Amino acid sequence: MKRFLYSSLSLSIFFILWEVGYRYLGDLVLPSVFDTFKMFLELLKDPEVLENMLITLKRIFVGLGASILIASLLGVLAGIVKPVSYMAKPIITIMLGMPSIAWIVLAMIWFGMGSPTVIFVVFIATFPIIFLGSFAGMQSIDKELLTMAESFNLSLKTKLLNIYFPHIFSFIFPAWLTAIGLSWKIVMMAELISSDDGMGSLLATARSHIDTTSVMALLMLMVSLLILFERLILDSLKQRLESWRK
Amino acid sequence: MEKIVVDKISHSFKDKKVLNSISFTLNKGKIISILGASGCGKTTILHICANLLKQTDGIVKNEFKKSSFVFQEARLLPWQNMIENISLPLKETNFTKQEIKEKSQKMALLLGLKKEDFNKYPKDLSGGMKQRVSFARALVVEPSLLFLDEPFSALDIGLKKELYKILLDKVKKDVLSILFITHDLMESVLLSDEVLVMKTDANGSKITNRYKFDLEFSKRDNEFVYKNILSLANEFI
Repeated sequence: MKRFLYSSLSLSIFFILWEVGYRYLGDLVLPSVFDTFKMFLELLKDPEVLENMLITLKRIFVGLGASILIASLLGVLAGIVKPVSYMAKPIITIMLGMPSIAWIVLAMIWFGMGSPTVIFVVFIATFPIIFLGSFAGMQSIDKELLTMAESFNLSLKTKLLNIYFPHIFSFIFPAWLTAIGLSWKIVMMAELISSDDGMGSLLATARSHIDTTSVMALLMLMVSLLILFERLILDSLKQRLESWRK
Repeated sequence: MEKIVVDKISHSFKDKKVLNSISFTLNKGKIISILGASGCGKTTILHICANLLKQTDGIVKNEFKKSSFVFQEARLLPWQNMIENISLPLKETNFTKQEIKEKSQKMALLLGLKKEDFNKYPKDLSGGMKQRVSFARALVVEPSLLFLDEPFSALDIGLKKELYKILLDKVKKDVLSILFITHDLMESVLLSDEVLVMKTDANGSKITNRYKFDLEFSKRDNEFVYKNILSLANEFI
């Protein structure tokens, strides 16, 4: 309850500052909170917006899904096979250092405009974060537990399922969260530059019409989707897999 | 007859020689304890015998069909409950899930663990309970050879006696042999057919003396224990 009070307090301050900004700067710079909410509700009823929302979500799920699957497994592999980790490290460092916008430019040259470019950029931008989370988990595993497993001659499969995976979950989960947040940002940027559909492209249209209210409402919609996704899916997953901590 | 023969094993970590030509034989249904000061390489011997470490020199011939290991700390998986922890080594066998669960529960009860604690995670168990779980996990595979790395050292005397009894019972039925290391004189007198005394010099540790106790475990009274503790104690003075 106390937590709820504090978080509503900070949200209220946020909205008050927004409203003050609107009063001083006018709705070309910052639309009123009320108008934005009204537009937000209208967007939800607009089939064109919903269609574009689905396109964007699909791109996120494909790019991020592939990244979560491949990077997590590669991180586990690098944790078990030393040479793989030596080989992966420089590549991961390069990937971490590459600006997302550079990937977008390259992907546009390679794949042209549209879904493949957006999906690729989501994949490549989230990949190193997830890999590092998974790898760090593998490295921090308790050596004594591994010796114990060794003393029972446990197979690699049994060790993976009973020791490695449960342990790395607490490392990989925050990495997934970061990657999901990042993918939400990247997808908008990639779509804005390199796609004719999706939420990012709607944002580009709204900007070209200098329709600030729509821009704000679209952003509100994307952020709400992210929050909804985290609350509904990730929280329940975390609760199920981490029940032993309570 | 199953036995483990350790023949002149030596071991070095990098350039430092730890073990110097260690030899002994453990026969089926017997208990050998290795007694020595901390850091003298006792655990290294155990790890070599249990195939967790490859010795630099010498031969270990282990004929026991199945062995398991109990460590000084319980080494339980924090994300699995008591019964899941006990059943871990059974996951490699062909038993059904139900059979595995039943075997683990039976072993838990034998070790004096209570039914209402079966679903608890290690962080909610006391130190003594954790070590019981660790013993249950080692015994559930029905080993013919058990390696013990000072697993009693952090336990209170009541629990120690209880665990001794469970182990000796299995040894008496001729189903279990034990190789264990300790720095507790009383433990080695109470619990061994043979005590190997280890000492360290510049060339690493070696076995300097062997004591054989033929008296049945159940007949080892206070007088027997004190007398032999004294002679063992003289080794270290």
